Amino acid sequence: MKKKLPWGEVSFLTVIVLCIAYYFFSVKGYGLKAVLWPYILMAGALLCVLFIAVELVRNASAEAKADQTAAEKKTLGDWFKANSPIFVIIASLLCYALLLKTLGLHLCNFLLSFFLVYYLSKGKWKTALITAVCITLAFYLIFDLSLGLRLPKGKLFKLLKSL
Amino acid sequence: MENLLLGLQELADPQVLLFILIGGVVGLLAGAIPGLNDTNILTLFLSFVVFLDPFPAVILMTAVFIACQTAGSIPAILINIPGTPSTAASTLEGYQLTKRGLAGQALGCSFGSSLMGTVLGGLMGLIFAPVLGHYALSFGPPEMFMLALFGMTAVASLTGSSVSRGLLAAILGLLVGTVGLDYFLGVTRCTFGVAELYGGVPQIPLLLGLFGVSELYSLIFKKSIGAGTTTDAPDVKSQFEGFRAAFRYKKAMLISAVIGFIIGVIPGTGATIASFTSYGMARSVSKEPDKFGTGHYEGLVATDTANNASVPGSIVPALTLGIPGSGTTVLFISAFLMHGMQPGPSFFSNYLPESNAIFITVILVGVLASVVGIFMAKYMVKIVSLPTYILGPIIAIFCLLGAYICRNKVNDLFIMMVFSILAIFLKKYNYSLPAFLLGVILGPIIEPNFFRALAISNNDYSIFFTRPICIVLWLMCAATLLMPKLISRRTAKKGVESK
Repeated sequence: MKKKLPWGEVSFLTVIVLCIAYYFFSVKGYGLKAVLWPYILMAGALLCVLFIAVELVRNASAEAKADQTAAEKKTLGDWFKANSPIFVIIASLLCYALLLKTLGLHLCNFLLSFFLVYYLSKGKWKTALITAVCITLAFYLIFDLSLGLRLPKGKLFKLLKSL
Repeated sequence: MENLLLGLQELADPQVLLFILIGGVVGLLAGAIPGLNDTNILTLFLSFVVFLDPFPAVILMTAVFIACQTAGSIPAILINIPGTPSTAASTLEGYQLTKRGLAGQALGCSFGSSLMGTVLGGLMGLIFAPVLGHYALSFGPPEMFMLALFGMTAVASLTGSSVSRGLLAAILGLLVGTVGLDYFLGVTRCTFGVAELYGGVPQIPLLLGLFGVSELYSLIFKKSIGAGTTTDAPDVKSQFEGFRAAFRYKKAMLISAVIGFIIGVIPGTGATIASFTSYGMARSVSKEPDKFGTGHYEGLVATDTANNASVPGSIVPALTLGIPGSGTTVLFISAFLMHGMQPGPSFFSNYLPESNAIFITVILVGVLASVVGIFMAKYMVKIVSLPTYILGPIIAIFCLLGAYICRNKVNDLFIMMVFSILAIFLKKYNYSLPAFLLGVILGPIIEPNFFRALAISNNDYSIFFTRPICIVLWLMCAATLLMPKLISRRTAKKGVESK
């Protein structure tokens, strides 16, 4: 019999430790006043990670090795499948950020809201189009006209204007 | 009295009154949407707050905060889904009343209790906040360091699934707070060479990532927020019956308001603990304890009064000490910091009329939200059927826009996304999100005060252990850290005994 660890949380803690290690090496060599406080915090964080790790090992349920391997494989594949909507949203937000300066804010708003409504409503393109137009218009009215903010118009808009 | 009148004068501005009205209505609508809590909504409001003066901005946020608490009970009572986490206790009696065909009466009772909770809480805030503010003026750097440390430990131990997880979240927040130029030598710490991080991690993208975008990730898995739930629209007449019924339990109301306010003042506790605690207390002092859990007005009065009274309670330490009483009041501090104002001991003496205006707003919005709520409840309950494919893009664009417009930097969008991904894992493994956020907010208070305290004591660390207030705060830190363990041990022991 072997103990089954929650590998997801273990991986999360490992990433935290790696980030702390990066921070430690990035401030190495600085004067004591600049690093004393971060060092105290790093020590505290590592101590907490240690406590949590002990807690995880203690609470890990005992399961047969064969069952555990099968369950792990299933869980990892399932995890990616089940969380695919989150990856899609992150990718769409990343695209928004990358295209903001080129396409301008309102075109980006339109494209993002069209895509999100289309994706979340599972292919209702008419609803997506109407909702995207309404959302873009509402944000234009609030932020551009009412608040009078200087929002990015986009290189594309400037190019078209110069033509 | 003079300061109270000056506070009222602050509110006499038509623009401020308009903000109260807008905040009240938006808060009522948002509070009725389960899944979107007051923190999420106020985070989205930060996009607007940047462009307002600090006090009208905080008045607007207060109005949203109070109205959210009042409206959160509507879905809790009608469809057994709390609109905000703090109204979870309202389902205990409220939904039982709905099942008995008394939905209107339950809503009326909830509105009556909410009204009294905010009025009594607001009055207590007006009376006790200046006293605490005056007392806080005697705090030096060691006391401020210890106070911030106490706030952190309280939030860390009372909000996470375990003390060590809560503490880790808080320490990670403090570490994020150290990013950027350091205070004494001017060297950059962990900025990855990104110029946008030299001044520290920008708060608005961080907040939007932690509470806005991360909420979007959980919303997209649902068709609509209240999918699969139906309820009859409550009429106004039956709500007035319930409203009157609430005032039959004046004793429960008063006790719950006091409990709610006191728990609200303690950092890290907030409205959820306040409402459950006062529910337990009301049951133990009630003449009819057997009726609790079957749809009893007294239980609903206790939960909703305490829930609303805790809101002004949580604002008190945020203004007087710079230590937020709840996750939501962290945003109040952020709003002030955005305008270059640091809430803390000297805040109340410098801005007494404005601070009083905030508590008067609490009372005004409490009355407004309850009255409007009675007439709007039947429409508000329909919000829960709003499909997520409409709500999702709106939240996404609000967050992106909010993160971008505060500094006009695209990199802030990436910073927001990094923190939204971190929030997914913090939520998934039950690490306290408020503790993390509090760490980021309190970081700039703790570190300089730590070194200032050492400077006045010639690097003698005993300064943190010898001053009377510091000793009291150390004891309070120890109590908050040990309390969850002691409570769980006691519960386990009781369970064994009852078996």
